[in-house]
Amino acid sequence: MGKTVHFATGIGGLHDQYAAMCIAALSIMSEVARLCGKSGVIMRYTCLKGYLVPVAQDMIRSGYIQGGNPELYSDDMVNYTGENQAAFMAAVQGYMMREEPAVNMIFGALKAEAQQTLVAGARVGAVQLAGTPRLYYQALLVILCDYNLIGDELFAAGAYLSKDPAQLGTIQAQDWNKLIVMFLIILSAITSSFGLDLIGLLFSW
Amino acid sequence: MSILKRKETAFLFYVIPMVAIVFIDYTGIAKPVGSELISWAIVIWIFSYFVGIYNMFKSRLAVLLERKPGWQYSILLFASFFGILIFGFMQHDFGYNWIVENLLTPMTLGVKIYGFVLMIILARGAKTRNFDVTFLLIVLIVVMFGKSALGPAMIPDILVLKDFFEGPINTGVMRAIKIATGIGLIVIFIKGLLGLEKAYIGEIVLSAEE
Repeated sequence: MGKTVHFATGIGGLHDQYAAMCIAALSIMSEVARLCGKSGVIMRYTCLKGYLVPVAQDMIRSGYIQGGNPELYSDDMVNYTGENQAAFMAAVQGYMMREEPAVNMIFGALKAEAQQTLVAGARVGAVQLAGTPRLYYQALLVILCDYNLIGDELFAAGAYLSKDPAQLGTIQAQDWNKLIVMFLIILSAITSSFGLDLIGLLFSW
Repeated sequence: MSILKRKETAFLFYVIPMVAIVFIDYTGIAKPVGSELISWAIVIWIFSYFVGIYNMFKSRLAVLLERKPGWQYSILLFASFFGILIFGFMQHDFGYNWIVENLLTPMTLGVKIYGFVLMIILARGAKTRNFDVTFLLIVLIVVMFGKSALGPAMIPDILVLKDFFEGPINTGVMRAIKIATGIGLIVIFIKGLLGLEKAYIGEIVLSAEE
């Protein structure tokens, strides 16, 4: 009891090609902040991007207000480690060893900082949750986490947590799109076997 | 609701510039406007460093003044920050290069010992609590054994198994994840355009649970 919850969004930010992953991670964080506020648990967020500081502070403050414990919120729940990946790794590992959080979460566009963060979390016995659509880190997350989001699950998670009908509709659309792609793959595999390049025809059309 | 979190604000500062940049990039019409928008974004991004530094200084200064555990590291942080800032501004090559070569690079490499970390992951971090992870670790051992010089020499058939895992299984799964991720990206993009997704301006997701 009395331990903290740690959350991080990895190296990807809102200004680069990883913006969608970062947005999805932030929408998960909003729900985590609300649940921490509801349970009276202190949350810590570590980020690599300066512009995420006000965004995260706003989200966490709103989460604690919604959760019914606004007095627990303080601005130092958000920690900026500088834009350097190694600095982020060192800061998170130091934090893990000092505070020994009960839960360690890292979502978004993850690179090498994810494995360091999760190994440090494993050493202090934290429950670990992580997710990234980046291919290279899928197996690492499966090995290191108690629960993880594979591939596009990260994009669906925020919408799923919101329970908002409009956002849930996008998950359904995502599933229908997947079904269409699966159908096209099977169809093109069959037609290719008979010498007809269906995908080539579709793209040339 | 704060004016910054209104749908109109999200449209003005996110949707319109994004659509404009995509349109200009594809059509080539009004290229200077596109360059100007990107320049604005870069200026705002650089300015955001100050926001982060302000936050870092505020929290570290509180640790230092209140003598919280580890306050000595705050002195180190301020000394490092101002040291490299002064040498950078003075364009003092010797001082700046000395810090980069003798302090920053070795410390960065020390933190980023990827190979070593990957090896200790199995020893320290692996959570073999369910079937999936156990299966993954078994496959990992088979592939590693198959890739080593000793493995095929001891069990020649292991190469067949290794190629099977690396070939159809791995490729199929990777492609499936890539396709699904692509669809997810499009969905997030559409949600942003429709103003449903506003996490980037600090909008909290409203849960229908309560």
